[in-house]
Amino acid sequence: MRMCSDAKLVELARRGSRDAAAELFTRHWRTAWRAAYVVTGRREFADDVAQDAFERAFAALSRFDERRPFAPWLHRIVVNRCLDLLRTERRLVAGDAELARLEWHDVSDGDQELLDAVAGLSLQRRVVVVLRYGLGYTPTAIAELLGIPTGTVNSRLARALEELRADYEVNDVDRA
Amino acid sequence: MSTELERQLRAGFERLPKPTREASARARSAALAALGPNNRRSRGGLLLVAFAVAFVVGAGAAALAATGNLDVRIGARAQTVRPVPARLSVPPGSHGVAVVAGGKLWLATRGGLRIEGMPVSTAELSPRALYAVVGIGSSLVTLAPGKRRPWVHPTNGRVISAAWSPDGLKIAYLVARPGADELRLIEGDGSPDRLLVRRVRAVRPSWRADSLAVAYVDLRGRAAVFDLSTGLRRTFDTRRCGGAARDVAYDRRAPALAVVSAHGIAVVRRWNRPAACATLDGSASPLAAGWLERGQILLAVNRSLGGSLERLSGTNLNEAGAALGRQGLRGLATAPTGSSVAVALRRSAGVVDIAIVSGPELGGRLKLNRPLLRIRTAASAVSITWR
Repeated sequence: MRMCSDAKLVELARRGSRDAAAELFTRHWRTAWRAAYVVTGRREFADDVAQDAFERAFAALSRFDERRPFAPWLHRIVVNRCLDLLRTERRLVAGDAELARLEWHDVSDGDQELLDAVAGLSLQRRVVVVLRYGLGYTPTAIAELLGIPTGTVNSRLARALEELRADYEVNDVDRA
Repeated sequence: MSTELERQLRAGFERLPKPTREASARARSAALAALGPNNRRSRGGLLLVAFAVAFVVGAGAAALAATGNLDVRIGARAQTVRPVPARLSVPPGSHGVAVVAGGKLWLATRGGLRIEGMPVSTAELSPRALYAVVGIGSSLVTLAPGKRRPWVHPTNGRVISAAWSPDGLKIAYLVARPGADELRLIEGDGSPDRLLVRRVRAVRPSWRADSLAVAYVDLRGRAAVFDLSTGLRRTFDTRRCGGAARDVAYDRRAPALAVVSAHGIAVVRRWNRPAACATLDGSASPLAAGWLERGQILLAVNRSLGGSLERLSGTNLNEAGAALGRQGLRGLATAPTGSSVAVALRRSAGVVDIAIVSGPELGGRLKLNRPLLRIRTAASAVSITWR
């Protein structure tokens, strides 16, 4: 199974191969979880979102267009689930300090500052940053994945970097 | 051109922590369970199976037709059924779930507290599911994972039910006393306990969203509210809406109180205005009510033919949707956001499924979307707390 392409694994999983589905899970679980972790800022949310995204993806595998790559489809589900969850939580506990606080427990100090700066971005900008630098998608692929024009992706990325540069580099000066 | 910041971002993402093994294992098993049954078998295999099924059905039909008892139903293809977990699972985006049935507690929280089959008289989770309060005999006990300090408070009778205030600072609870039950109040840390109302019915109290008032049912079957800020009690006679009150539920987002009676429901939005009232047909027996988004009410109703979830909206409680099922309902809880609903549904004799259901649409069928737990119990009422 490890030698098979994603497309082959999807095809086998659609035929009912649990081994193929398990291999798909193993290949993509960590990246999906990490993307959810950065977007939501909490381990427990990342656990929920990534699990839910896989459940939805596997349940809908029969409707998946085999000609398209699996990873962007899965990541689109992850991103949508993150946005749904955060919007719901925000509506439920607006201004709740417990939720607003992020939990970068197990990252180094330098990374923590960077992640704090990423978490300070608006949801839309945070998502494109995660897709671009966390998952390595090109702006064109992000545009396709999110269903928005490439120009919008580029402008969100540029503004996000500008914001991060101001925020993170100010912190950098403080640290120094 | 890649800048220093972009390089740092890429490197930072590379060094992100990993998911825990437990979360990975749980997700893997849930994802594989969602895969559903194999529905693409080989054509030869399909033909063989089809032939075998046709033979068995034909033979069975011939035998039944001979006895005059043949009843053939042809419907849409069978739906993919998710396996029901033997252990209680916490729905995504929630802090925890607690289920009490037949004097036993099943509880799971995101923080790691898990209880399965513990004998209790009642249980309720705190607003963020950091604590659970349970009634064990004549004691009120809090449980918490990790280093949080639990406490035990002895009472002067059996603890019947408890409700944690939305701010997490107070617990209203009922104690069984000879003649009539008492409504009492205790702080969330287990210190001062005081009597609020001496003679009440054994109906779970419900807190107003601001945590300053608690609703209960008085001994005459009227809905009542104890205002903690003034110490005043107000009663509201909703018995014209189908009889004595059997459940009270405050909206989590507004000061509106739903009062479920033997054959109807009333909603009190202002004490100086008449309550909105909806009565049901004589065969209907409402079980409980919950509040959904946008002030809609969900009423769980049992009838001789099965259970239904009825969605009511507007000031006149117009029916906005209903989902019907063949099995009886045993309990109801709405999600913390009010966006979905968990029910306890009788599956067969002595077996109850706890599951999340889809939003009731007009004339829709009651579908269990996400099973949470299957338990063996003969209890006619199942209490669910969803945080």
